[in-house]
Amino acid sequence: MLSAQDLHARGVAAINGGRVRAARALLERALERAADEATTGAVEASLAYVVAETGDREAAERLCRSALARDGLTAETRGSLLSQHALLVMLSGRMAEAVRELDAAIAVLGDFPVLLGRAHGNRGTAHLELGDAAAASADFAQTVVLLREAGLPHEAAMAEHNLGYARFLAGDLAGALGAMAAARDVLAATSVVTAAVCDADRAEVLMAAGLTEEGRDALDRAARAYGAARLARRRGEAELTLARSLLLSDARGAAVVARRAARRFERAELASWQRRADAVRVQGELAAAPTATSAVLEEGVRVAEALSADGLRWDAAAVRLAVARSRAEGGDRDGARRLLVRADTAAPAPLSVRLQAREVGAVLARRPADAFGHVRAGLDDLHAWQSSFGSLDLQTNVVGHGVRLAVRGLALAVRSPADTVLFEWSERARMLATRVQPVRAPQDPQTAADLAELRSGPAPEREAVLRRRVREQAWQRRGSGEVADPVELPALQASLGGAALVAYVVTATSVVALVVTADGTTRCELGSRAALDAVLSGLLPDLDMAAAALPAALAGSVRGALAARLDRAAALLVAPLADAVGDRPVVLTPSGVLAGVPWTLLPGLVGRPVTVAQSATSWLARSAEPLRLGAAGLVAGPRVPRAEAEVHAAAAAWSDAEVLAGDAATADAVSALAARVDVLHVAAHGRHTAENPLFSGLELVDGPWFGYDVDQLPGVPDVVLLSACEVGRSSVRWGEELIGLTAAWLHAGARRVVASPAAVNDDAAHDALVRVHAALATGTDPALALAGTVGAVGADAPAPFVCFG
Amino acid sequence: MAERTDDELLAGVRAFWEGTDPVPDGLVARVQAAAALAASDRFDVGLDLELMLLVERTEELAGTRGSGAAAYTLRFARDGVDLLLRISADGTAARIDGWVVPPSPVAVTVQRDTDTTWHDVATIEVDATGRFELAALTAGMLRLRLEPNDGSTPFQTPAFEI
Repeated sequence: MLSAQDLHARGVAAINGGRVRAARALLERALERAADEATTGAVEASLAYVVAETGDREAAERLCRSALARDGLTAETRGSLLSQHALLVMLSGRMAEAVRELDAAIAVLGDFPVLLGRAHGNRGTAHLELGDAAAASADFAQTVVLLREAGLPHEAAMAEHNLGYARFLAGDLAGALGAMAAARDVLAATSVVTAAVCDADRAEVLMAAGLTEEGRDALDRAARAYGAARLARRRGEAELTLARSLLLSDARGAAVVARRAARRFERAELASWQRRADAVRVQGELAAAPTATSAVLEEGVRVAEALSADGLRWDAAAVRLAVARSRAEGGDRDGARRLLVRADTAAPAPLSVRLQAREVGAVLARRPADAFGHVRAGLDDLHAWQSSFGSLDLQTNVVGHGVRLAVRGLALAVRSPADTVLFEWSERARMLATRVQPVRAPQDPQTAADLAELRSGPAPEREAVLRRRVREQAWQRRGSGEVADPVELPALQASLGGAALVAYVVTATSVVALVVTADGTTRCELGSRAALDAVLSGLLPDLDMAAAALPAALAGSVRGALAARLDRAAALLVAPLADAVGDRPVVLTPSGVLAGVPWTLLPGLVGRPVTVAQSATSWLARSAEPLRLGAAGLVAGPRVPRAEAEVHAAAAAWSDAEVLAGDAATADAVSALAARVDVLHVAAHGRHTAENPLFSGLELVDGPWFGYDVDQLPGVPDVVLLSACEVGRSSVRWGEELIGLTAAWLHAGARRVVASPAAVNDDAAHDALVRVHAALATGTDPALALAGTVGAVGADAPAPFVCFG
Repeated sequence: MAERTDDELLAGVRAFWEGTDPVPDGLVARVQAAAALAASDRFDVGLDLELMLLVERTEELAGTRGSGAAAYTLRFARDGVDLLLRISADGTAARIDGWVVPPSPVAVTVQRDTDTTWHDVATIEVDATGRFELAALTAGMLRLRLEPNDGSTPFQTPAFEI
């Protein structure tokens, strides 16, 4: 007859062979024959695993508990049982209890590296769920080492993926994406579900990075894969992640998705998960309808209490703060304050929770100075985090987290009588994406190769792969960690010289301009936001059509319509400032909604040097030293009839300008030229890509030269002239920050970029920019050179070039 | 990439689309029927309408330095009146910008094809600049009717898809 030990051994072998049913029969016979406590406990440990695998968690928990009560267990058995029980506890959502059991397991498993590694991994998962990302990272790092040394590369990769996730929770997006990418290389091949886990978690990082579209696609894919594999909990988790990340951009959608996830958890009897989904639904409902019913508010408080009891303090804090905000907005200040105090918002809390707390604080503040203090501290917190990544793409995207705060700051500032306050908040809103000091990226050979392959016109599937890789490589780049402070009004006035700075501030309801000169400040109310929107709505089509070569009668009418619109825009944006500005050259810091305005064509600004700056702070930094205007390089791209004539005529203004035209104007040659000249001019077809602005580009003889190519340059000219369509256009991602080819050049270190926000007529570009070079070559500032060449809109196609800097 | 003529490239594009997305059976007949219906409307409704003709449809803005933006231009004409339409994406919706040449005040009515008949979607009064904007349109078959303020004969475009 087989002994209990023999049967146990065969049972374990059956488990390892994946024959769960056979294992159960063997282990139950072993249990009957077990003569001593230690053997019984060891068999029960294995049986508990089998029972849990078949879905009966309660029976499995009972087995673990009865086994743990036995005397004489070996350290290995005891550690296994504690780990096993902790896992079951985790499945039902009681994370704090699981951590305590895993502490005990880890204390006895020192001699068993594989079991120890797994216990660390499980404890890391529990820490993650509890929101302690630092403790989780430490555990996962242990697991990676222990399991890799034990020859379990696949399990080690799982831990590395989790390490990435923990880094993400700690705010290290670049580190997170790096670890997840390394783990995915090992894991994705193993199964569809594993690949889905990788994708779903990565999606959460993408969402936090503001890459909502990409994240949503990845989560949809993962949820479908889980659905096909009948994994209700996993599917619910993917939906919950989606719901949570929709809170910023689509609160109503967030509530719908969270409700679906909650139902799924309910059917699977996962009460703690269901509460987390309920909490997100409540937040969505509160954000979508500020005048929430008291029923929703009460449900929020109730869910928060239950989440606190589960040890899920950040989930609890988020829903408490949402209720508090709603109460405060509704006038129940005391109720709001009580909730704010109850919410866990101190330092290790995730950024989103800290920013939410700042917002509630700002609403509750009795004095404006206190409200500003909260908004300022929140934005500083955001920028400190933002400064950890080097990619312009990510820096702009994460701005979404700070938009609500910045909008509140701007609205408060417009109501404030002090011009210093209005100026400060204009700068802060303008700088949401540009406060971080750029780092020059080391050239990445993989990215350079991918960009070259993209130029060669790959098949669509390959093109998608390459674009994704170029983008993701940039995301992993570390940032400078340095944040610029906004310049203060007196310091700006001292540096303005004879120029006037105009800060346009656009809120949800009104438009205000602040004119700053060395002599003083003037605030001008410019009217309603609706009036501005009406003027701007057809501006881009007007500019595009006015640039087209049309039969004379059509062209005249179209250009007449553009001129009429520019008159109306100038009446709104320029005329009211005339007295304050006088005949000074101007520096403009336009709000995001003004990104497409061709300032140089506006009556009142025509013929006047105009520089459009990202912020007064960035303009001052770019103007600190005289521009280098020594060596010029000019490039003519293919299929532009007047391009070669333009570059040769423009080059004639310089004593020894380099010209690349025809087959010589390749991407590599242009990159090399850009690195050695002070002034770079590219006449080519251009294209702004709204959905992925850093893939906006200029067409060269061997294919497009992208914003990402600019990012790879070893050196950058001071002045860049883009004699092309649209590449002065920018996409506005969240409200105030701009991204596109012009932003890419400025981010890379260029100090002035002359470009058009709309289509440009071939002849008009030729005529205007040849004359600009004649002035530049004699040392004239680009804005002044442009002022001398761009005239008001008449019968000819306009030259809507703007000097950015 | 080997040097190819425009004709060769266009032939390649045509072959590609005929392979991957062939013209559905009966489409030509349906278009002809729709055109006949559109033309017959003027008799059915008893209105004296001038049907404009599509003169040009272009993806690129001629004479500019763009490489084909996400917008296209339609040009209709009849009896010395031109209508330029620029159709572009407006988030998930579509947007039409229009120019009536020579500029004159007109009422522009947007009509949408609803399987059985044409429904008026909106009417806007266009001032003397002849410039109008229609935002937040959903995809589908549309046509425009232009009624000059001076009481002269209205114009109607053929149906076009946005």
